[in-house]
Amino acid sequence: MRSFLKNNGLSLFFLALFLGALTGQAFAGHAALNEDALRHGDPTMSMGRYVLSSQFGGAVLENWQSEYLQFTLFILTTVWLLQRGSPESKPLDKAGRESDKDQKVGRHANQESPRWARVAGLRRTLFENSLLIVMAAIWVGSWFAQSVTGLSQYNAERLDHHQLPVSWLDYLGRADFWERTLENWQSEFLAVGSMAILAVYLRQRGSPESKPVGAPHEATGVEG
Amino acid sequence: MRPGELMRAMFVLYLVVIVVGLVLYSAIGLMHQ
Repeated sequence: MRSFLKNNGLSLFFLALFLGALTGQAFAGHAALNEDALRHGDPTMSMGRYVLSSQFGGAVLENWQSEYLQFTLFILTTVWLLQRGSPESKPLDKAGRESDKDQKVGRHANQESPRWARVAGLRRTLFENSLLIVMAAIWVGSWFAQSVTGLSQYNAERLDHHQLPVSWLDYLGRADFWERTLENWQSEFLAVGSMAILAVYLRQRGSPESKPVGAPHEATGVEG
Repeated sequence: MRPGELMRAMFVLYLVVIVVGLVLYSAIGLMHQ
């Protein structure tokens, strides 16, 4: 049990944080919604109904999509784009997809390499890009979920104001959809860019996200 | 279970949480159209 906790500390800790924050969001969102309903003399909603509502789903998913976009872009762009001095960047001479030897694929794979790294063809192409494919699929899936839950709220509001509902495609061009999208994107892009450049000159002893404390500011692609 | 199997279980657990979230709220959004 102790070795399980030690070996999986990072994923367990963040899973617990996620569930705690999601629960907190549900309670706070439910309270805020009912406060607003009482102010307008509208009927209140039960917690169960709120958790299964488009309001809650939309609020959750619009944040998911931006996080997964952030990681998708970070995984993809760091193949080619470099940042001198950053531990988030590869060394300056490694831009690109690198050789089979560097990547330990095909005949350069060793006994411990995953089976799909040793084979050729479609299976290896899929495995070579599997992290990007899955992160991008989660991004697209959560952006889609954001769009349909957002549409449902948008149309409910339009009906309240005696306006006709709009279609999904129409909603994708509306300011409401893009405000909910871009307000999340901007923070992710700033966070990634600042992480790449701040880590050139700043350190966190013991963190693999930082260079070793004594590494020179110029050292690129060195993790502590 | 061996350490490798537990690690794999954690990998699957994360994917399940994500897929359930995506499918559940996509379905709820679509049902309300």
